[in-house]
Amino acid sequence: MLRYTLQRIVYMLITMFIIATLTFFLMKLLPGSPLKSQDKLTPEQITIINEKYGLNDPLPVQYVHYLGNLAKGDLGSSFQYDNRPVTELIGNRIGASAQLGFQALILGSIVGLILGIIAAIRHNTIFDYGATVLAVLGISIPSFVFAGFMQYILGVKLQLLPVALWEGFSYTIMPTIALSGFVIANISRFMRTELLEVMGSDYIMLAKAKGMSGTGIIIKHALRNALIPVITIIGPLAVNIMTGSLVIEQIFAIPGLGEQFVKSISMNDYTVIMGTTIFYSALFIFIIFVVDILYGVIDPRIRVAGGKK
Amino acid sequence: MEQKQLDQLSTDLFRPAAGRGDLEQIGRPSLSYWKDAWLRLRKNKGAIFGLIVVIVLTALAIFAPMASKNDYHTQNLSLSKLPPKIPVLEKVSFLHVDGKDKDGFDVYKAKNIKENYWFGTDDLGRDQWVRVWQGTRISLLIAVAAALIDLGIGIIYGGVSGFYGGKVDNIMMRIIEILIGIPQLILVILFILIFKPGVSSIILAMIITGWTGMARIVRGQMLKMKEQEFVMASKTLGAANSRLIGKHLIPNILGPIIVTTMFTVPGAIFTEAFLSFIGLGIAPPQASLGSLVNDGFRFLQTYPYLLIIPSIIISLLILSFNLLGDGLRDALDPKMRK
Repeated sequence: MLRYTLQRIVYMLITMFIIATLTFFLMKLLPGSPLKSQDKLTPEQITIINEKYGLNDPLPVQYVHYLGNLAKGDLGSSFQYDNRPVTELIGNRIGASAQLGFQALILGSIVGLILGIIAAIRHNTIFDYGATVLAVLGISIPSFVFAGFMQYILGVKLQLLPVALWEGFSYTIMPTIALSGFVIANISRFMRTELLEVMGSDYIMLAKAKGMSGTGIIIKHALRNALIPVITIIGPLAVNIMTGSLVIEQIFAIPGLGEQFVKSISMNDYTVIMGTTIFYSALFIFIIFVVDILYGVIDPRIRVAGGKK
Repeated sequence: MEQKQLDQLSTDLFRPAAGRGDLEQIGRPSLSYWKDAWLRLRKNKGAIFGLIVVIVLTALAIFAPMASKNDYHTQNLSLSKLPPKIPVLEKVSFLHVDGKDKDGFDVYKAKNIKENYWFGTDDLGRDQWVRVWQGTRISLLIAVAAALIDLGIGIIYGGVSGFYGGKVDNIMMRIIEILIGIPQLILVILFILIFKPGVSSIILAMIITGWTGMARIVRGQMLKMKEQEFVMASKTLGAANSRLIGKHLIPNILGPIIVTTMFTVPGAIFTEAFLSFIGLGIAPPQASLGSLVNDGFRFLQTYPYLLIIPSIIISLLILSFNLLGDGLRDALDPKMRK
């Protein structure tokens, strides 16, 4: 286990390093510079600014400098937002995004688990088919389409919920539901398969033979074992929520990290793009890492270190 | 003595026993793998629905823009923001395709327009019917191209890795592990920032990390297949590696490959739409389903049909590919049958 964890940490660092390097050189390749658009600057001013940001240094020097700053957690400062540090910009925005993400993940997991359990227990009944149809729809309908329809029906037509902005709990309902659709669909589908498989195993038969009641078996034996593999998909789903929030925040005008990222793309604010990219990547990689390790810790049947994929 | 008697029996005394021929006949026609798969697929209602919808939408995407006398980019401000009007369906009230806007005002009559715009027109007076199908065409083109190139790279990479095994496999898989660690979307965004948004740059950006999934599947199947007896038999008979791969291994792992490709396509359609949302999609006047949905959001309160129609088409398209992929997975793998 320890060896596996260490190996994963090394991989994580290598991946982070590659991402940082890639981002740096890709940004250097970008056509144009944020300074060129400002015609008002005299050549002298441009030289001063270039000097200040170290843009005149040879590329390798800039690169080493950049990696050094990165290691210290310094992501540079924005070109557009009055030189404010990127970390500060991210810090200001992360709250709304995190709230939205957690709400969606929790709602999606709870509803998904319930649907999956119902579908598995009432296997091959109308409940099962209903849950399956919901799952297929949830996977197929993109979150932005779902968001659009909700905005139109609940917001514009029925005026039940605010159409956009971020000013209280009622504002979070529609974006949360829109983001959780994919989570619900995936978890319910996965839970159903896992639970059905567990229900068919020998130890469940043994429990039945010993005269345990149906609900007792499900709660004490089946659910516990079926839940373990579900943990594996929480990681990819969390990543999906983060990417989904880029679009959802845009649609609902939520002042989150995603909205700022999209804005910085359209404004060519390179340091913010770079900083946010690295921040997102680190978060992605960290979540997947935690989930993998958790899985190894929780499931006694699997000892990842020895096994092969 | 007995032997002699037997010898005296002439063959004329014998005749074939009745019905013998029937017994030797094989009861059912033998089915090839593909026929068998097709039979199973045909029973799956969802998959058939998906197949039909995919065919219909693809046909519309190819032919509708050609058949219409309007094109997707000509602007005509006097015709802007016309609501949808479809001749027969206009009598079905809940569909709202009667040429009246949301206040019940008949724009066609007021402006004295004879022509029917089935999906209405957008804010610049472009025929939305043509734009939607043109957009579907672009979305499908990007998705299918990305999926096919993924397929090609994946088969070669995974094939080599799985077939040769050992050190080669080890190195190739470590490379993939690192690539998979990089969030795909981040790479795609960075990539498109550098190469301007366009059909080819979007396809290219999707391929960069997209092929890893296919490569892993091909490798896994290869590892499983190459240990089987028929491969050993072929090897013993002196077949060259190229023949082993081309004649025996690849055809036997086609099932999972086709299924994976089927699921890559809706993923790519979604990614393309996603890019439009963050401002990195197809540049106007070109349209894709994603950019049409994105544009539609601006008119959510006033001209909802601009959002609703492309939204339905993109959902239907992704749904159909998913249903078809699910059906194919069950049909092509007999072991997966319930």
